[in-house]
Amino acid sequence: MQELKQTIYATLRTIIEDLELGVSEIHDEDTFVEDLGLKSLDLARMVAMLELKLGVDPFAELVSITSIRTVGDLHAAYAQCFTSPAGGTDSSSGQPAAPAAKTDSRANQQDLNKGLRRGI
Amino acid sequence: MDHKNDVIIISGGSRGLGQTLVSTFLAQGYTVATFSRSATPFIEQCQARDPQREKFCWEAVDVIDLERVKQFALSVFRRYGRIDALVNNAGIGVDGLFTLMRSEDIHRGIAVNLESAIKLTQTCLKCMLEQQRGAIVNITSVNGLRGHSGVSVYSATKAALDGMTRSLAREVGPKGIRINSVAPGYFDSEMTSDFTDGQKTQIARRTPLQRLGKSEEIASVVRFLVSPEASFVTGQIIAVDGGYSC
Repeated sequence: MQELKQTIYATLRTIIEDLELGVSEIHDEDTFVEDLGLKSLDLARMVAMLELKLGVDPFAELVSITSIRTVGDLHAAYAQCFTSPAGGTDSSSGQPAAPAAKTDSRANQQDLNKGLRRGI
Repeated sequence: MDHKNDVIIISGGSRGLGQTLVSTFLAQGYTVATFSRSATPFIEQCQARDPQREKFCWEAVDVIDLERVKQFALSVFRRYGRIDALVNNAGIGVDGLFTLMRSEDIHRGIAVNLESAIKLTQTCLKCMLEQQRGAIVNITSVNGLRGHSGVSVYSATKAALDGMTRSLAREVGPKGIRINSVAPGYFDSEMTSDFTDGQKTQIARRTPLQRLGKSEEIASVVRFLVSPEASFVTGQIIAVDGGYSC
């Protein structure tokens, strides 16, 4: 799990450096919008980068994006992919693993928009 | 222009316009990855020239199998380490009087022309987001721009892709990713192969340039839109139709 956390932090650092946000330290309790200054598309980029690295996307089926406000929340979402017997969407098998709370992309987008208003 | 490191995915590259696109981009130095349901002599020739898959790879994928489409794109990313461009070319003609069309044919048209393009775009975009650069071209149709009897469902799928082009251009533009549509008019292809000479003459008469197009004329516009020469062009629908829709 420590390795997973390192991967998430390293990816986040890459994004922060690309955006030249001037954030020197990242903490689990940091919120993406208020503390780190990320936009929704930056978060989408991070999820894409993590899917390419880890082979899973917890937001495809398993976890609602609305539950993600902080770096710690994001780590917990990915941890769920690897601890849940069902897992997330596995890129190697391609099988959605668990019943989705919200599988409709429009619903996810609405969630993301709501999340942004709440400070994701 | 040197494209020796650029990787492009072209759906449906085994014949017709797809074959011309594959040839065009290989000639430009791109690494080309394509798929279709089955290999054609053209694909076999390309494979024979590059058995190590250094600049060309093909896989048998039925475009309606969305998970296979996704896995194809991810395998290209893993093999070459990048995806710089995507051309959503795979498509089928869906024609007939609307009220007489079978549900099965309608669903297949939507699956091939629209759903598979959405899935492939979604997967490639994740790679492009990582790179913060990329270009996507959707092959649509003048049928998506103007009304023509007998092609309602086909028109619907192509107009939907044009809608995706516009919205996605706004969504991912901030990350340096461009998306455009090329809307061909009538050109020599499988879709026009069963037209009678009379029908072709009628089309030519209604076309300002007085003839049908050639697949190379469509491919050259796609090549432009993918290239850095079009670096300030996004969200546009470019009709390549000899003026048919003007």
